[in-house]
Amino acid sequence: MNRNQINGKDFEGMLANAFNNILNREQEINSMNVFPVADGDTGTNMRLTVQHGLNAPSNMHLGFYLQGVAKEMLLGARGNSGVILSQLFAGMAKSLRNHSFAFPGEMRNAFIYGYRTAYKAVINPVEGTILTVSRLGIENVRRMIAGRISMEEAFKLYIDEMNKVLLETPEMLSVLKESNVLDSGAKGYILIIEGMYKYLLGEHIEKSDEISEVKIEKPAKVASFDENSEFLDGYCMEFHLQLMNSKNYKTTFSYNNFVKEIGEFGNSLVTVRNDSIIKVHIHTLTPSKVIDLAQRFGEFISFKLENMQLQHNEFSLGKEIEDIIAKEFAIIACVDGEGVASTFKEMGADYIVSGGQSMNPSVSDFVEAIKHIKAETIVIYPNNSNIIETANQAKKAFKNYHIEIIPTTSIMEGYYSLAMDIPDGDKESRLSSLKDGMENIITVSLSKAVKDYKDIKKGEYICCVNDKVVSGGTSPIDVLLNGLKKIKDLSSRSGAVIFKGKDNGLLDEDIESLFNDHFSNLEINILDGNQGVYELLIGII
Amino acid sequence: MEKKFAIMPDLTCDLSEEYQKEYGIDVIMGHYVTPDGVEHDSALNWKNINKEEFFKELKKNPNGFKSAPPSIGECYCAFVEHIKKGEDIIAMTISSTLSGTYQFMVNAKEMALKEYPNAKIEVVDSRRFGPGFGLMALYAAKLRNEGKSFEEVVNWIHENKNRFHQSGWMDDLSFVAKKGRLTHAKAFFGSLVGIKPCGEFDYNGLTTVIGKAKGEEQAYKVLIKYIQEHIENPEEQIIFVATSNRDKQAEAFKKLLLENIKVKDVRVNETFVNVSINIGPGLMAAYYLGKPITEGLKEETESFARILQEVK
Repeated sequence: MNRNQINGKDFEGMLANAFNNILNREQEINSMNVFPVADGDTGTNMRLTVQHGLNAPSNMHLGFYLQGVAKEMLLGARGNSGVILSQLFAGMAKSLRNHSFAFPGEMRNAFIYGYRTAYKAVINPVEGTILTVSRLGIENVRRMIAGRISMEEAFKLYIDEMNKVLLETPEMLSVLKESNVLDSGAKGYILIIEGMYKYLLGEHIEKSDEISEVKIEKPAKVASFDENSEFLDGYCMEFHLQLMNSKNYKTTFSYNNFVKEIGEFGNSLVTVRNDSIIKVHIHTLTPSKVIDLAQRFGEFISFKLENMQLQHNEFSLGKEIEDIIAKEFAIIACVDGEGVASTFKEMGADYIVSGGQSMNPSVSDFVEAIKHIKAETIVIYPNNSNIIETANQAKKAFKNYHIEIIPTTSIMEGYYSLAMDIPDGDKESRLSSLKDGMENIITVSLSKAVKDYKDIKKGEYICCVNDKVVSGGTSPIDVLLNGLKKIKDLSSRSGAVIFKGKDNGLLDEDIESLFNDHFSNLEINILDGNQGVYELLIGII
Repeated sequence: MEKKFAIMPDLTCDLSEEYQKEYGIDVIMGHYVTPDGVEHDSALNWKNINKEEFFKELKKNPNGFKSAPPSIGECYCAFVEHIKKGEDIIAMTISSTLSGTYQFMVNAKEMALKEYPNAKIEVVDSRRFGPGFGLMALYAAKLRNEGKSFEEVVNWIHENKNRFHQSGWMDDLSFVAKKGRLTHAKAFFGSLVGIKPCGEFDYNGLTTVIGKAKGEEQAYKVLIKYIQEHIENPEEQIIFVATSNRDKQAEAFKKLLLENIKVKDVRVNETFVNVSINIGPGLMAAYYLGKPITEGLKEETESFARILQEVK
C-alpha cells in the first residue's frame, strides 16, 4: 500500500513497531559498543528511550502526538545515545508541531530538523556516530524526496542511505576501526526508523520469544482514553506550594480556609502543612480552579497532574515534605554502589542519583533529584562522560534555578572534587574549589571483559586508565600492576583512593602489597564501594 | 637560672623537657586514659610509651583515648610550690573555648590566695592550643629572661596572642572535629588521601580549614607563600614545626622554610600524648608570629585561595 501521508495514529503504530525492532536487536547493538566494559549500553539506552516515548498520549494530530513523544523521550532518555535519540525526535516534533498529518516532503524536513536539533544538543559532536548517519542519511537523499514519492519510498531512501553511511563510520572514527565495529548508536537509530518503515509496509514486528528477561513497563492504556471518551474520573493532582510573603500574594493565609476552599473542587483531598510549604493531593475535574486558588498564596515547588482515566501508575502521595532538602548550596551526585554512595554522602553530597551498574540514569532521574532540593545553588556531579549530557538536559528544565554541572567523567573525579570542598566558603569559592578538585585525577579501573578485545578474551581482566584499555590477562593483580606501570607520572603522585566493587575477588592485603612494593610514594585508602561493574575503581591524585 | 617569676603553662603547650629546661618553664601536667580504661600521668616525652604503637592504636581506635587537664588541686599544689619559693606566677592555659583548664587555674589561684594573700598570680588564657600555645609560652619566658617585668610579660601576651599563627595541614581532621577543636565541623573529615586541608587558628584557637591543597608538593608551595605573606619580623623569630607522626614531612618543611624565609631558627617538635589524642596522627604545621588574625579568618582565607591559584 502506498501512503502519501501519516497522522498521529499512524506514527504511534510506527513507533510501537520501532520499539519491538530495537527490543529484539538490543543485545546486538549493545555488543557493538566499542568498549568491552558494559558501561555503554547503547541498545538498552535507545530501547528505554523509545519505550518512554510510547507513554505519550494518543492523538490523531501528528504534531500534538509527536510533542508528547518528544517530552516522554526526553524524560526517559539515558546515556548519550538516548539523549541524542530524544533530540532527533524533539527536532521532528518541532518541525511537525502544526501538522495534523505529514506528507513525505514534510517528513523529510522533520528528519532534517531532527539531526540539526541533535547536533545542537551535543557540546562536542563527534563524526562517525549517529549524528553523521542521521545527517548524511537525509542530506544525501533530500532532493529525491519530492514530487509524487510515497511515504514508504521516502523512508526507504532514508534508511538505505543511512546504511551506506554507517559502513563508512569506521573510517571516520578510529576507535571503531580498531575494534572492527560500526557505530552502535547509528545502527540503533537505523533499526528504529526501519521499524517505523516496516509498519508502513504492513509488517508488524512482534517481540521475539527469546526476549524474556527484559522488563517492559506498561505503557499507558491509551485505548481507555481517546477523542471519543467521556471524561469522568478526573485528574489526580499533587503539588507542594511555597507560600510567598511578597505583596503580589494574599498576605493572610488561613490554612483551614484554604483546605475548605480547595475541598470544593474535588475529593480525596489530603493536605499537610510544614511551615511555609503546603502539600496537597486532590482528585479533581477542574485542575485550573485548584491552580488559581493555590497561586493566590504562593508558587509551586513541585507539581504533578495525571489523567486518572488512563489508569496510570497507582496514585502515590509522593515524598513527604520533610524529604525536600532546603539549603543554600546543595550537591547531587550520580554514583553506583552503596559504599560509594555512603562515602559521597559523608563528603557532603545531599542527593544520590543511582546510576545502576552501567551508570545509566535518565533525565527524569535528575529532574526528580532537583525537585527534591530547594537551594540557591545546586551542583550536579554526573561522574560519567555519558551522563553529562543527560544532566544538561535536566538542567534545561529548571531555567530559574542556578544549577552548575561539574563535568566529572568518573566517580573518582567526583570524589576528589568533593574532597576539595570547604563547606563554609562562599558560593564562588566553593564552585572554584570543586572544579579544581576534579582536575588532573587519574582514574584506573579493573574489571572483566564482556567481549573479546584485541588480545583480551571475554571474561579476562582488563585494566583501563582514564577509560583507555592498557592491560589485560587472567590474573587481576598482574593486570592491575601492568596497568599502573603504564601511567607516566605516577612517581610524582601522592595518593590513591580505591573503591572495591561488589564482586571484587582481591584481598586488601594483596592490594596493599602491590602498592607498597611498587608504588610506595602513594598513600592509599581502600574503601568498600560495592559498585557493580568495576572490581576496583582507583583515583590517583 | 634565677627566675623573677614562674611561667607555668598547662601540658597542652607540648613543650619538651629540653625546652622547659632551656627556657625555665614549669609545665603543669595532666593525665590521659588509654582504651583499657586505665588513667596515666602525662609526660612530655615518650619514655614510658612506645610512640609507633601509640599512633597505630590511636588511628585504629580514636575514641579509645582520652586526655584530661590538671585538676584544681594539682594546679593549686603547683602554684604553692612556687609561692613558697617567693616567686610570682604567670599561669598560662589552653584556650578557654577548648577546655575548662582556665577555670580550674582561676579556682586554684583563689584557693592559693586565701592561704597566701601576698602571692601574685596571673592566669592568662592563651587562646591557643598545642604547639602554638607552646611557642607563646616560650616567648613569654624569653621576655622574662631578657629582663622584662611581670606586668610587661602579661601585657605582651594579651597584646600578641592573636598574632600566633598555625600554617600547615592535618591529614585527618576527624580527631580535631570530634574533640571540638575544629570550627564548623560540617564536612567530611575522614582521611582524604592526597588532599591536604590547611588549617589556621581562629581568634579562639580553634583550627579552621582555610583551604585545601592537592598533594604535598602543592601544599608546601602554598604554605611557604602564605607564611611569607603573614609572618612579621621573621629574622627575629624561632618557628616551630610540629609533627604528629609526620616527621619526614616536617623535616622537608623545615628545609623549605630555611631556604625561603630568613628566620632565626626553625625547630621541629613532635606532639606528645595529650595533644596527639586531640589532633590525631597527620599534623604537620608551622607556628610563628605574624599579622593579627582577622575576624572570621576572612583575609587569611582569601590569601590562601589567591596563592593556591598562583601556584597551580
